[in-house]
Formats: sequence, structure tokens, C-alpha cells
Amino acid sequence: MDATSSEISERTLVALAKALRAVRLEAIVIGNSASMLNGAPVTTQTIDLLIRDTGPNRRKLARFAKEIGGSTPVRISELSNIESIESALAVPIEIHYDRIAGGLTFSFLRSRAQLVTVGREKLAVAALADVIRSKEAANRPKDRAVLPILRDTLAVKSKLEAPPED
Amino acid sequence: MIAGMNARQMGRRGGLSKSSAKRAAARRNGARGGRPREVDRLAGKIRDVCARLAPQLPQIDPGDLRLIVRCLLLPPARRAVFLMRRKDGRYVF
Repeated sequence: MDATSSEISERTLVALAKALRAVRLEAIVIGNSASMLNGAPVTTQTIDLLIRDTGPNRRKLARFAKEIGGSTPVRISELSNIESIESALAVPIEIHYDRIAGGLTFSFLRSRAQLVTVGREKLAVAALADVIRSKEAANRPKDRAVLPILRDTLAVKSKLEAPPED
Repeated sequence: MIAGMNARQMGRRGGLSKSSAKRAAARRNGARGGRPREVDRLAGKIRDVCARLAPQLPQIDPGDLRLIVRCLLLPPARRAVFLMRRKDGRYVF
């Protein structure tokens, strides 16, 4: 029997986390992949990762790309420093460096990120409130389209995590 | 009752009693459908959580609330469903 899309997606996340661990590359999942892992009923065509732009990280990134059977990271446009890796994974990986829209830095996002278990691996995932902040700042049509459901998800999460009222 | 052991631990350990009353009780439970299936338990949990939260979040569409609650009740790795591009250029979930 063919694997379901949910199984393929889970395997993709496990392979991603395993490769990051293997090359010791510290990365935070951002964007709509982070929204999904935070429980928002959305989907995406890429996995976005935020890393620090350092020499050692550039070398680790090249090893990471090999680890996932991927291409050398390629800049998606001259106007942007985002790089894309095509790989054997179900979706391409996009690499962002140092900060994302809204002035959110790597260290700020990391301090609020959650460690999410995927299979036997762990992934650092940006907090949903930070994904919303970043999308509000980016304010592209695709961000505006998804913001209402992200805000609703945050409201539901807050209610579920709040201590029960007497 | 075994000292220092709670009901859950005793259940896991299992009973030594093989009484006919116990066998009859097991048969009765089985006739009622036995242990609920995982999907039924998830559906029930979604229904309960939505019923509790809907009055507190009237601005959220009930259909969206259901989707959000369902996602939040799943383990994180099962929440993700990527939109994938097939070799023939079509996109699939």
C-alpha cells in the first residue's frame, strides 16, 4: 500500500531533523511549516529554516545538503539572501539567515522556540506568535491570506493551555 | 489490593481471578463493541473540546474551530501535511 501524505510528511520531518543533528547545524523551523507544527490547519510547499550566517554554519549547510541528497544551496533571487535546496525530501528546503521579517533575530526566535518531537528526533520550531508577527510584517498577499487562521489557532491554543477556570 | 500499587498498575499486572463472573463481564463488554477505536476516541475528544471552547471563542467559525482542535490534538509530527510536486508537475497533498 502507498504511504499516505501524512506519513510522507512525517518521514520528511524526521529525515530533516536527523540530517540537522548529523551535521550539528542549529536551525529553527519558521514559516508555515512552523505554523503546521504549532497546530494550524495550513499547508506549504517548502520547509523554511532560519540559521546563523557564520563560516562554520555555511560549511555545515553544505554537509546538510549532501546529507539530504540535495543540491548546493542556491539564492532564490538577487534581491534576497534566502537560499533554496532541492533534495530527495518531499519538499524543497529554504534557508534564511540571521533574521526574518519583523526584525525577529535568530536568538530571539530561539529563546521562544519549542522543541517538537518527530519520530525519535527533535526540531526547534518557532512559536506561533512569532510566525504571526513575521507574517504581519512581511504583509505579502500569501501572508495576509493565512493570518486569520493563524490568529484563530493562537486563540484556541491559548484557551487550551490556560489553567481551568474555577 | 496490593500495597503500594495503584489501580492502573494492578490492571497492567492483570488479575489471577478466573471467575465465571469475570468472564461474563468480559463477554458483555465485548458485545457492546469492546474497547473504543482510536479514531472514535479522537472524534469524541474533538467534539468535547469544541463544545467547551465554542462559547469562549464565538468569533471563530465552527468548521475552522474543529479543524484547529483536530490539529492540536494530533501529535506534532502528524500535524504536518506538505503540498508536494509530483514528477509530472501536478501537486498532491
